[in-house]
Amino acid sequence: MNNQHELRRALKSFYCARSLPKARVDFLLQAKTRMAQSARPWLTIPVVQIAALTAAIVIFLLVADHEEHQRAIERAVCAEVVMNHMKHSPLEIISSHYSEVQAALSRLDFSIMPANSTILETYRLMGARYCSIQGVPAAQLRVQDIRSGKESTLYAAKAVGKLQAVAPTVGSMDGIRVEVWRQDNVLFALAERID
Amino acid sequence: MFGFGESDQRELLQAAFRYAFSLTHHQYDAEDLVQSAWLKLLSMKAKIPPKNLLFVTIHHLFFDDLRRRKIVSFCALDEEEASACQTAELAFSDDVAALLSELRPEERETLFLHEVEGYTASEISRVTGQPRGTVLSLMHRARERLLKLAQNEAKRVWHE
Repeated sequence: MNNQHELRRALKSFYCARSLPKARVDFLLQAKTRMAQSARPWLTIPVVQIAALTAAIVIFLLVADHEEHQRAIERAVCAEVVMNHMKHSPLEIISSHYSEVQAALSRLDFSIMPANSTILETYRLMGARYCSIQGVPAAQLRVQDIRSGKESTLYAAKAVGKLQAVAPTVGSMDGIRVEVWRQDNVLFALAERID
Repeated sequence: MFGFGESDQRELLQAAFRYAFSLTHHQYDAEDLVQSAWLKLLSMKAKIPPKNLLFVTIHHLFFDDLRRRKIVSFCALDEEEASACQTAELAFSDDVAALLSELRPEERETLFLHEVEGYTASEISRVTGQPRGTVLSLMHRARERLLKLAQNEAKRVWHE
């Protein structure tokens, strides 16, 4: 070891002959894996399960929101129908024939005559006027129960806009019974006082 | 240092061990020192540390431990009495091991980083935290002392 070159060679040879035992190396490399996992425990949760859970929650929220939205519109339609019925506004067309009323309400491009034979047999048409339900132009028909003489209000509107979401239903509000049904693309609603 | 393969990680650990050995001059102490530094860095970052950071951590752990145990004595750079500064345990019986045991840890460290790892004085300065001038002095002195010790050893063998 009499010159710097030999010194370097001797030192390299000496230190390169030293090594960390394989068992210790393996332990340290495994420790790295363990610590990485414990530092990010969420990685141990299967991604598929997280995705499935997230999708389920999103679908549930969408369905719940859609159903809530639909119920809100139905409540609004019923409230409007009940309010119009109670106002008992004067009729614009007086007739007991659907064809005459249909012709008079020329701005409406759909049939205002219910196909339900029970309605036709139970109620007699008295007349009609224009109105609107949730902003959609509608016909407000006044009908009379043939047997009891009680007056009711029948509405017909094209199932567009917000009315598209309204499903057939029966309910009551402020002592008024409301029945809603669909006939092709026309929404009908019948409001009558509960005795 | 993401993307390190397992063989790279093994080589990193071996390099760290050789560096730790240059400080401790003892097999088991060097193993423990590497393990402490490795686990400390992993607990902070949970990923493979860069080589320089690993070396710096080993350096601090070693000298902090020496200070705690009050084993280290801070010799002046011009001190000639190597024996007064000797702290490491003699672990090998071959010539080089015996000669290196005569050096102080910081002298072995500097020699190792320069001669084996190929670090410049500035790079050694960044690992040890000492000024570059001090590193150059240490390097020169360690080299001279080691050569002198080797010559003395050669003379002793010749006379025997």
